Amino acid sequence: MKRILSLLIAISYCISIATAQNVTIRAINRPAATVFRSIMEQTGKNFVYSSELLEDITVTVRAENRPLKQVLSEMFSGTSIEYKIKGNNIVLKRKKKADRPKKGSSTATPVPDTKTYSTTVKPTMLEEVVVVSRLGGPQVETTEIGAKKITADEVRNTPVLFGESDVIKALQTQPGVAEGTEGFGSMYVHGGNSDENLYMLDNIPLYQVNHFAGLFSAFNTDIIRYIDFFKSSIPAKYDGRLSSFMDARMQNGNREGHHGSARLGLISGAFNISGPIGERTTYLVGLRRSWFDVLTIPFIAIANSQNEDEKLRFNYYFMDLNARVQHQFSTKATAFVSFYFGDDNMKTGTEDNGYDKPDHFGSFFDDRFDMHWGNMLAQAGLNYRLKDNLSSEFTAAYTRFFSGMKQDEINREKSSDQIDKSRIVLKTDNNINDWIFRGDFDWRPDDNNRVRFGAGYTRHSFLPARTSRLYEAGTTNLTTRDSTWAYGANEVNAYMEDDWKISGKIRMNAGMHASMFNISSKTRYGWSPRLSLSYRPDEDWAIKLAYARTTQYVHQLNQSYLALPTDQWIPINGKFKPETADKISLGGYWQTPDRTYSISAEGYYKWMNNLLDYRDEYYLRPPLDLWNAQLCSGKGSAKGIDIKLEKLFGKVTGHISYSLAWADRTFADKNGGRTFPAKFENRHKINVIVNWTINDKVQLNASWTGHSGNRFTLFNQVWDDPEFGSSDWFGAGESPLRTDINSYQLPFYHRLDLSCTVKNKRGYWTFGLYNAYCHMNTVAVKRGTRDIVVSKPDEYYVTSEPVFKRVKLLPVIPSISYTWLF
Amino acid sequence: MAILKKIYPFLFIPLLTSCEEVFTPDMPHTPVLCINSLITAGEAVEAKISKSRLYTDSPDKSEVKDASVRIYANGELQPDLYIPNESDHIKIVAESPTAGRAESDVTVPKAIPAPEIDWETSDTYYQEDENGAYVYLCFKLNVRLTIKDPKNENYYKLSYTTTPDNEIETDGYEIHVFSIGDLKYDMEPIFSEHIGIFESIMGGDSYGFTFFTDRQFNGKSYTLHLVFDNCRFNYRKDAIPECKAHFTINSISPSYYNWANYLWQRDRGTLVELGDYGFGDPIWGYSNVSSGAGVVAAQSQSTCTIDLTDFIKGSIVQ
Repeated sequence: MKRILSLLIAISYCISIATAQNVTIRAINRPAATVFRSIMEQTGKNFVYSSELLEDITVTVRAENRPLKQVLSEMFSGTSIEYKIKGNNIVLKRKKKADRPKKGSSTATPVPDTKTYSTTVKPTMLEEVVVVSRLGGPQVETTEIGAKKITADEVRNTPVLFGESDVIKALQTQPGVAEGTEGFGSMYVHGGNSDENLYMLDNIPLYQVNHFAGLFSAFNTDIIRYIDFFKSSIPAKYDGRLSSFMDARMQNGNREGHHGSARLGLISGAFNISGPIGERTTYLVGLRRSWFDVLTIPFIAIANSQNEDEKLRFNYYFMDLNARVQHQFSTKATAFVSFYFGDDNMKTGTEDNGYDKPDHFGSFFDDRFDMHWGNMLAQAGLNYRLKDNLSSEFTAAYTRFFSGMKQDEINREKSSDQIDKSRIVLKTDNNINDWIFRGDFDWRPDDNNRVRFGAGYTRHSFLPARTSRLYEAGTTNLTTRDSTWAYGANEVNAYMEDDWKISGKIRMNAGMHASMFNISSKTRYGWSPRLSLSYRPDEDWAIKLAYARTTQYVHQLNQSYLALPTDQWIPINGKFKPETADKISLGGYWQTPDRTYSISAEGYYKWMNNLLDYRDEYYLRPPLDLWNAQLCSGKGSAKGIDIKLEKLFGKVTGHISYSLAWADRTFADKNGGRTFPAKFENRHKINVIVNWTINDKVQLNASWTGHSGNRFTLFNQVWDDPEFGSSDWFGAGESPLRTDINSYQLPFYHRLDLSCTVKNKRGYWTFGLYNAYCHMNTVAVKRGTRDIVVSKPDEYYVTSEPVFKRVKLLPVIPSISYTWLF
Repeated sequence: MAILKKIYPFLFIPLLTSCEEVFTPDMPHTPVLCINSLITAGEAVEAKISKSRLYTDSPDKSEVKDASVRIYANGELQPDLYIPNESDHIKIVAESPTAGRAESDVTVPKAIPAPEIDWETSDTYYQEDENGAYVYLCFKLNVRLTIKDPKNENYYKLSYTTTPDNEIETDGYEIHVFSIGDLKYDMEPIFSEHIGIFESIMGGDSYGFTFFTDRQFNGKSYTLHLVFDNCRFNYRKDAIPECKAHFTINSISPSYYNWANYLWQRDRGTLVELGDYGFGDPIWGYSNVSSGAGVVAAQSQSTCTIDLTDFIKGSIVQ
């Protein structure tokens, strides 16, 4: 039994413990599994039991803020089941020794709202174990379309680049989500842009969610419990972005003891620990840090040893620090404080000390470049149960995005008798500070209604750019402050939604999110109605219809598809109106009676208004112009269908999905006013995810993705430059003739990623293979040249000719990491 | 761009493993007519007509031999030789049976009044050769050039020359040099106004770029602070010429400024490189011609001069 429990704990490693131990529940002759779900929502504990154990078992229990043990005892009194609480698991078994089927002969018994993990155990023990989790509920039961709850295990089981498990890259495998440029952690959901996704950590927005230009996301999966992801029908609670909402929930601290993990990978290491502080308080600390700086030390040292005078500087790291403390004041009140700090830091440059030497003359450069960017988040919350059927959560939070860069360049011109020194210092800062105050309520007036409502206030402070330049040359110096844009904005929002079981077959979720955004003495209003309808003819299938409007008041300005610290978040201002998206979705869902397989088809049509983008030739506008002058407003539309076949239980799980998508944009001042396709439209996209648990020690994971190539603007014609010849860098050349934006489609993209997890007594190894069959995909096309050899009887030379080139990126990349559990 | 070279390996480590493959894109291409012209007040209008070509074609495919060109000034068709005045609205129309039609128009800007100029020298270094026949002067020159900006949106370009010519002359063993050296572009912030934060961080600088707008001083006076380093004078001691520096403020059309700005973005900025690797959108050539190919620009000039002869003579130790 101990081995089974150990295994189960390992499997549900990141499904952590909630601290509330008292429960309130009323159930009369209801299926046991249904009651389990309610208990799990209140306590966070998992139920572990044999698959055949609960067949036809119903329970009756009436409890009001009673200890969990009492409730469980009452539930199972008069039944053949006994329970035992082991850590975060409630293990159920028969009171008397029951006849057991032969090894391997049993199958999972359907259990509503359950997630089943099959495992091979000794014949004397349970043949098959069911871990009931509130995570990953069947889609036929809810009204939601395009919603996905992803466990940390699912994230970890998705093979990714460099073996760094990544929340955003796991989401990229979902239908309707385009990954953008290969290897980078952006999401383009249903034809949207990358800044149209709201990333949250425990329900508080994060503006900067990437490290290393987007190669890694800022979410440390070792301390994540699960991720809620919504892309079609959006709960009324969420608004502020057009395309999707992702809320990563941190684990709670472990009440049973001090446990954690330490991981060592090629790119980063992580250390996490959680445990109790007294009887009512728990803590959780997670730290992840890259170690490029350590890895590069010997290379830099070698490089510098080759050059006595010029010394190269390079240092880069990123880190994430998460901490959470939770305290239970009473059975009704629980409070928590949490903190997140994510930072990228890079220092580079060269130092030329040659001018110190008496016989060295000429120019000597010393340049330093420091850059750092990241996000900080602090929040305090109070969960309070006002009544048996009314709970509340009050939150105060501060979230800050920051980036800063400094370039310091010193030039020394040394002659025989003097050194002329000149210096240029360039500094720029960019940050956002948000203070958030919010109250959320969850009211269950009766068994058929669940009403969620709340209100919040956010004080935004935007500082998109503060740049200063210092020039020094001899006795002359000049300091300029190029631009300081600062905006304060007030955002107020309120929402309400009711999840109403109209009948046994029909369910509706209707809500409204209202918001007000005040900036520069101008107030904008947003009304975002939400409606989802579900019709469930029987237990196994459902059809759903949804409408959702979303409103966005802030948007990101970036000149590249990389996540760089120069990206600026800008509020809606001036002549521009808030961006809006209206989306109609229709979905059909079917699952096999034993819940092993499910299939879904979700169609959508989305139209977007007041979208913002850079106008044609925006780069010709001097940056001193207000950013508004570089932008234009337009429309967009997206439509498509996402089909997904999923295997939920068994040794082999995974999904196959297919997306068919169209997405376009129309701006009066872009592409000459003509409609053009979105860059990451990806007309056809296929994802295959397979997770194969070979035995209790080894698991294989495979992820294959294939999609239509990204769109690209390729200039295939050129014209001769005018020969104005008025400056020394003006040279006669050729310039590309404009064509329609995104009119060229890159070749079909496909890639297979593999990973293997091998467990041992202390932890587990993870081996990864990105792009396993080494198909280097085209990420861009460009104009270039190639050398040609001209060989004639009387002459031989090498020249070049213009050619078009495909740029191919990542080959096969192996990875390895080890995680030690304690 | 020094910093850029250091950052790119960091940002684009994946590219270290990238490869490129030559291919022929399956895209239609129809040549269009191209008009290039820089119209200067007081000088005859000239236009160069060519056509666009497939990037992989040789440059001679751009030649157009069957085009007809018409020049309109203020709406009236002009004879072949037309000398424009300030404020003239010039329209150039080109037609070719094989490459279609293209047209563009531009207004010749008004020249501003001659700038006020003030100057000083510093850090003078003096040396004679061993025979005392040749003198060598090295100094710094600080010039303050004040322009009065008319209202409305205006664009400018600064240029400067010296007399005698700042080229090296060789006369037997004698070398005559007069040069006002290197303009410290960074010391005049107006030359950097086109450089955004992203480009600055990536190492973009204003070296060689003397175009600017009046966005920061619309309708007012503005003084350009021009710092010339390493000014040199090397002549026979007994043949000191008149040494002058001429500063020209060209009032230029928006199309000229945009063209210069585009060239900076293309040759010195990072957008092109980002676009080449799929990390950004590529940029196309700026054009104010209806076909999308070519630039028709205009300018008027205001010049002022400083005479450095007395300074040079006064610096020579007799």
